[in-house]
Amino acid sequence: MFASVAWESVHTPATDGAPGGLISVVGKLVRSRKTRSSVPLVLEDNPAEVPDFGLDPPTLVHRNIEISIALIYVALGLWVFAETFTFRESVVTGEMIDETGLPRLIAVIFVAGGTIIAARILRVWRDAPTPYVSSDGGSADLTGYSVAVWRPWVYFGACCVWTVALPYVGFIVATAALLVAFLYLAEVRSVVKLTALPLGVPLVTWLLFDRVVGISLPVGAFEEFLSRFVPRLF
Amino acid sequence: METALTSVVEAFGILANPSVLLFLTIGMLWGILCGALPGLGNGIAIGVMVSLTYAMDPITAVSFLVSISVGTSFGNGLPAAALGIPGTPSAVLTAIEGYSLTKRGLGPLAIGTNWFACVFGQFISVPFFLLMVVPLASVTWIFLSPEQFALYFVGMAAIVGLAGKNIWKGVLAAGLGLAIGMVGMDTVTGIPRFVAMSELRGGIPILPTILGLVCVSELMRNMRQVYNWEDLIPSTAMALKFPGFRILGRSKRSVLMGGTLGTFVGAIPGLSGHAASVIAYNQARISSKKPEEFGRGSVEGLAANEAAQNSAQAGEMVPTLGLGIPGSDSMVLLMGALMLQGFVPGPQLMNIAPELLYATAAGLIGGALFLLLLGWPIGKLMLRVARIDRQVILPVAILMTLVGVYAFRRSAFDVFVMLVFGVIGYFMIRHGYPVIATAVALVLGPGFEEQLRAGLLLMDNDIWRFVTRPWTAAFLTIGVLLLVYGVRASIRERQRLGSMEIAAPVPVEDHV
Repeated sequence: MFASVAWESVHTPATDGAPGGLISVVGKLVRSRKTRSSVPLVLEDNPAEVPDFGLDPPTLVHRNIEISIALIYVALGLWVFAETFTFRESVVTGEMIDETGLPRLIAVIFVAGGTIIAARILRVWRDAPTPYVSSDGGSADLTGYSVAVWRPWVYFGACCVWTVALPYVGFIVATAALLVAFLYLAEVRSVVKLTALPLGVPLVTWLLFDRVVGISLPVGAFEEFLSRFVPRLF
Repeated sequence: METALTSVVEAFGILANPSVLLFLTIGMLWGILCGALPGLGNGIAIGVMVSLTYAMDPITAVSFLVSISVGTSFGNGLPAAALGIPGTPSAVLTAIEGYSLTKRGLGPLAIGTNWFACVFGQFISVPFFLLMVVPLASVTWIFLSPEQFALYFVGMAAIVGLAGKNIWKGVLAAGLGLAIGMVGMDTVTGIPRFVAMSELRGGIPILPTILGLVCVSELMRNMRQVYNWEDLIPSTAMALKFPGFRILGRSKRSVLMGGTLGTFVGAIPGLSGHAASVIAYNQARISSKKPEEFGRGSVEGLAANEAAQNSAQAGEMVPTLGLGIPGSDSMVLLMGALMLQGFVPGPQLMNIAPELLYATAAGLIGGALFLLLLGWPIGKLMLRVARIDRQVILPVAILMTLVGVYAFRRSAFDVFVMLVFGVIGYFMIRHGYPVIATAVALVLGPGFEEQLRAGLLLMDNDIWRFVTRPWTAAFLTIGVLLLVYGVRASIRERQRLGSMEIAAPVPVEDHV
């Protein structure tokens, strides 16, 4: 019963603007006991019964990606197994389990596990009504809010650019630019936040790491200028 | 007993150090904040702050990280009890009982019981923690490679408990951790394995990998959607007046029981605060004179659950420090931070560095004292702070993690490692592969292999001699039992999930 309520909470689009997902499922469940009179609850019928929290509703993911991950494991297993034959010969002799032992075991596990998961998806491939399969415990998004699949990847790209640019631009300038990009991506449009945070956070971080904790960060023209005024504490 | 008492005395000595006190306060505040904000857990709370420990001495670093754990445990019960929003799965029962009380106009009682159970759950857990970890640490002193391997085996078997709903995905995730740990020089023969580039000669750096898997992946997942925590929180204002010790004291029996059970359950590798809280809650219901209140706003249920959840933190530290087996994401990060300080995680850790035990006790005692003195006002404050801007907090958290990893060695390679494993972890989280299993296997893997091979060499490759040494046999038996229990639980979970899938009405569209 708990499951059906939780399931409904997750899979029914929110009409009141409230989101779904694990957190809101329980939040909704707790709050729904007055508002959702049409949904009978175990807790109402039998208050002594402890709800079964093992019954989180399954998150559904696209089977193409699920099977791709399984096949990546298979490929990784085959590569690891093949790679063990290229190891240099050991000077330690008489080992029952040598340096190839665990890698080969892992390789077998990868191939077996990946094949089993892939086979499970393929078994129901043709008969499945939709291309979605259960992720077996994968994290769900909150319902009622749009999902931007591209956003984590843009963050990832921005982080890579920051890492490469850091030694050339200096910590404060690079970090300020990164934070502006981060905040804009997070749909922050307040000019105050977009100005104050990128100015304040890198400066405080630089002072904390470079001046207080004593960990040097990449120096650009701006840091050189600041160094004249703020002495190192350690 | 004497060592346990010494540890308490030493802990108070550590707490007298102003810098430890300062960082303990920062750790507590940060932990409570992260606990109170839905979606930010212990892993992110510690992950973002690990970089600050580079320049600390080990004692301050450990006290600091432990205090973050204590703070998070307290913090995640606050929105659950007051607003019906559990910050983590282990606060689900708090949401049921606490929010039922709040809805009946008993918000102060709910928050007060939460605070009371957290504080005294912590205090109860400290002596049990010391009494369990000290004998373990003294026994491991005499262990040779076969016994050490058996201990690592217990840790690896416990990973099954972290495997999630699909045992194969759990095994594959753990296998990935072992595979990552194999990169670099083989510790027995010195032969390079899987070294595709010169930077990998010393192995894949562990802390960036763990931070990527545990912290960055979760932050990346969070960034898929834009909303504010305020949207999740009911806007009703609530006047919180301290209900008084006389009223709160009525739940002392539940707190005592929950605190004791929580420490012991938390000390079993593979079981977590969630398991501890459910077991304590059930026990409280069975022994309650008012079982009919459970599920409708039971103070006893709330107290037992919160006390167990908080004391389980100390319990988790027993295998981590006593045996070198981390059982949760926060413990893996603690291990990672210790490795940066030059310590080698494993069964001998406490014998080599007993000061880490004192520092842990200082973090637990200091955290409990902090909560006792300031927990109530800070708890009230955090309920307001929980409305702060998620769109700002998450980008800043990513930034701090990046800066922290870069700052350690000024290495762009470390940052790329973290980002790559962040992406891998992101897919794992989305598709039900438990990242914590990968992280634990990564920490335990190298020692597991090394001790197995060294032990076999020591026993002249005689497996029977290897496994029949008394301590080895005992630990291997425990490991096998954990394995059987974990597999059985996972299969049952899968069967229940299967029945739900059949009942599933309409599939939800997903994008990754």
